[in-house]
Amino acid sequence: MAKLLDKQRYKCALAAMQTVQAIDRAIPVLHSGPGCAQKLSDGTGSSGYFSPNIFPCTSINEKDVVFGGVKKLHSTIDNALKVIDADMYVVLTGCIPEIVGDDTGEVVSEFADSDKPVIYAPTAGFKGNNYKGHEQVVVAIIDQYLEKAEARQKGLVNIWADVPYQDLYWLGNLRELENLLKEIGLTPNTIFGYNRGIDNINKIPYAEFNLVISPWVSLKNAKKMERKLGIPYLHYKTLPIGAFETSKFLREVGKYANLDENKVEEVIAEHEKYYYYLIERYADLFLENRVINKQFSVVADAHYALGITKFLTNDLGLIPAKQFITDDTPKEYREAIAEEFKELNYGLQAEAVFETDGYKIHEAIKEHDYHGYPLILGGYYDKEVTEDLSGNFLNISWPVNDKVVFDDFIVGYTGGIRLIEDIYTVAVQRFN
Amino acid sequence: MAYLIAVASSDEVNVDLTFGAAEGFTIYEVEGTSYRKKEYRQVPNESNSADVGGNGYGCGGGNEAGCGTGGGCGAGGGCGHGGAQPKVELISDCRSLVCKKIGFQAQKQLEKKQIASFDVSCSVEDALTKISTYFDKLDNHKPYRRA
Repeated sequence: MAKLLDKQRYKCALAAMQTVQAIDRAIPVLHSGPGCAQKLSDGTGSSGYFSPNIFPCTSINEKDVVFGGVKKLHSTIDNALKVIDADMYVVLTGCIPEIVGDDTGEVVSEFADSDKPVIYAPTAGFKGNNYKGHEQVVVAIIDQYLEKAEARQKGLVNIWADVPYQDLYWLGNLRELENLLKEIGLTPNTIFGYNRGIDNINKIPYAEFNLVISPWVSLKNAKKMERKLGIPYLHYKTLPIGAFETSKFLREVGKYANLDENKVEEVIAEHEKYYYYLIERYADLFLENRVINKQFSVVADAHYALGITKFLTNDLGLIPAKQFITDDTPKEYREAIAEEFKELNYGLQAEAVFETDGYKIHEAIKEHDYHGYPLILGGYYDKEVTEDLSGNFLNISWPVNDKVVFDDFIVGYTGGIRLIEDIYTVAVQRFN
Repeated sequence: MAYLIAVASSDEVNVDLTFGAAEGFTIYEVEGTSYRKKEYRQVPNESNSADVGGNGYGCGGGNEAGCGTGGGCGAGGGCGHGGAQPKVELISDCRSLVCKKIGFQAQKQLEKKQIASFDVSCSVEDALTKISTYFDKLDNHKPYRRA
């Protein structure tokens, strides 16, 4: 019997157009029906030099299903190259052309001699969600654009972390991760966001190593780069939020990159001093036991669920209830990720549930005894159920309707403080 | 169930006429994926001149060919409003129309009658094979994967 999926927290793979959009001056060329980009574009923060409204699209219709859409694709790419001033053109295929068997690779290969790079990524919705689509775009860049470099630049590190636009803090997080790596003496390289574009993509092959900060997204890309470009990678599963995890993260990266231990410890010490100065100043707030909830649940992708659970447990001393991972994590990664949730301080363990169905998540939240009102950090879908339970709610994952984030971040020492600010801003309102 | 497809062709070999320029349509009867010619339908004479009386739209804007009967060349959009009507009526019992080009207005009028129009440049045989295969799969709920 057909199953209903209620309130899922991701989009189809074609939403990788947002990943392309996040690369400065790169434009997606869509080989899809006319409504796809419209449906997939997020409301806020996606306008600018290129926005989903102007993405070239073949707008395929019945005729292209019957007779094939390759001619239309050819003319769309051809004209996009003429009228749109971009640095990279990434053709993304939707479901229809892949079902009827349009050979997109063949059409794209006809543009191999054009002045600007034209590559393509198969992102049909039936192949997976936008986390996979995000990986597909990076795979396309590795396979079709990058060449192995002879030389390596000492200290250059490619960072792969948040999925642009899907993670509301993606821009700020990437910048803060860059700053942290800079402080310990590395040269970070990311390809997403302001002022990061084709030049940064060109730098990828020269990196000393890839740093994947994510439970599973981008891991495939790092492995591919290891094979094709000979770049080793460090896989750090937990998004470092707050002092405990960030210090651990910096030590591990420092060790992997053979950095001067003293220098790394100096950076950590300085950050921790300020971090704990702030924590101390607000100790009265933390110790006021009426203010914060006894138990919390995070409803987010594996990236945020793991990072935030560790932060709230290790740094804030809260007790984790069930944690819900909503990104349809591929089965091969699930066990390892669930194990990570058991590696918490104070001998605590959290149960991670891989669940994409919003209804089931809400039922589980309602059933659980939070020993008082719950603290739920999740998508906007979870606001109502939290309110029904008189709990505290913070919107930290997609869909985001409760918060506007320009370049705020939750990663690192400062990010941890920002997250505490947000949580307690919600918590104290209860007593106003 | 059998259905009809109208084709705009001068020689019944290639799809070489625009909807506007066509003075008639070859009607094929399709059953499953096999088809046969049923008849040729001539567009009634009066309709050919009916729309010449341009009404301020500047019909066709200097486009000589075919524009008379509306939609023939999509140029100008306004061209042929209503002009296509007799032709649409002529093939209103068909499921689909195949021609070299068709204007926006004419296409919309056909859509209203649930006639799928395909503007393609290929042989009649090729077009009919592809379209009948498509409809056959559609009607029988078969997955549409091109072989």
